[in-house]
Amino acid sequence: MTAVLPGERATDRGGGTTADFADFVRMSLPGLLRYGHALTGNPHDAGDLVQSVLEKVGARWAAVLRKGEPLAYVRRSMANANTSRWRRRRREDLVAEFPDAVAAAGHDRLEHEPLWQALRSLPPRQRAVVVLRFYDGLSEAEIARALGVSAGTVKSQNSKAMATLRARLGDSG
Amino acid sequence: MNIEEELGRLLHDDRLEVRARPDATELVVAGARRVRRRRTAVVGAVTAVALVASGWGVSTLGGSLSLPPVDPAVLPTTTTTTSTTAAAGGTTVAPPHTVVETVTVVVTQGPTRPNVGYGSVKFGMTEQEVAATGLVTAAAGGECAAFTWKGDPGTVNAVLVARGQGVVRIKLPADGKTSAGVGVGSTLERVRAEYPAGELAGSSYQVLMTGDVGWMYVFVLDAERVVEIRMQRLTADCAQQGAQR
Repeated sequence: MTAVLPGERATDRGGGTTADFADFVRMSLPGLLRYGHALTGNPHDAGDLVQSVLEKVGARWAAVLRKGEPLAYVRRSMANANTSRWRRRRREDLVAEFPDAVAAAGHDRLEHEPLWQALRSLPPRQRAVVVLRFYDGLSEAEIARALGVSAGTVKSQNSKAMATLRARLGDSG
Repeated sequence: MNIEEELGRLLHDDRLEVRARPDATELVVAGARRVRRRRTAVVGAVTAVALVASGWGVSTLGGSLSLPPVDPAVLPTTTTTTSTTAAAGGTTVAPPHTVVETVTVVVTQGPTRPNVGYGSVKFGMTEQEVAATGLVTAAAGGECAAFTWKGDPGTVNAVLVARGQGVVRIKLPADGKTSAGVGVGSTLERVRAEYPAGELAGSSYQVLMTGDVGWMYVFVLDAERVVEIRMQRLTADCAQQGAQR
């Protein structure tokens, strides 16, 4: 008829792993939320992004730990999830009617900063490039690796982004 | 102005800080457990609770809203049984505070709204706002306020509004289609092709969607054909009504 849940047996397999993951979340959460805010352009999406990525990471925590550098992994996943999420959301436009999907944001304490507004209006991948460069201080090659695109793409996205930002700020005085 | 320097300054501005709920860690750990279970089991609807405290939004409006403390007993670990069988038991626990509530607080003051819905009926709308769309008529409700489509009065509980959450579930009218063109009568094969990320859960095919709000498509199937399409918030209450057709 319908779904049958298995027992709880598998839930906490790995003993201390769950506790380790909780510690990791506790320590990294403030930084990840900030980072998510920069990536998504608003605090609500930041929360959703961090939560969805951390939940997936936590579900396979032991495997993530084996790869090493879980924080870097989470941040890369966030940058990627944010760009692909946007692509997927665009697909739903017909039903969902997002007249202003790109500019959709909330009240934000940075709302009156022209540069923040300009940054927020960039397409997600361009914004990700800018954030990875200026927030994380990553090189073009590192950004390319993080986003899974070529160095040439990073270069072109970056120059488009900077040109847009300059034009926007020039326009607004 | 040197735009590089400005970007560096902006992206390290304290105002980028987002306050997490005090119980955020527990929520994430519970969520991870849920994701892991979902990988090993066929589980239907799940509940997700917003991670972010809403203080940021409210403070920009010049007020302060203190949220009720969260009882750890109602963490979402208790809600994984919310599949299509949810109507049978009392295990569905309303999340203490959800993203829709947060957004709604802001919406009452400004233009922000989770812009997901069917036509002009959007998740998060209040009863009054749903009624004002002119697309629906109020129907007898239960735990949640219910509406039917004017153009398709046969669909029971077409739009459900949960207290404090606004619209949490929208059943497409009989001639409604998703943006990918799936409608009543489409084959499971077609649905799978359009929404490969979904999974079968009992007699429905469910697809988690991402975006401004957590929600999912539920394609109810009969003999591998879609007989009903629901869009529902992951945080949806109204489980009793939710199972009705």
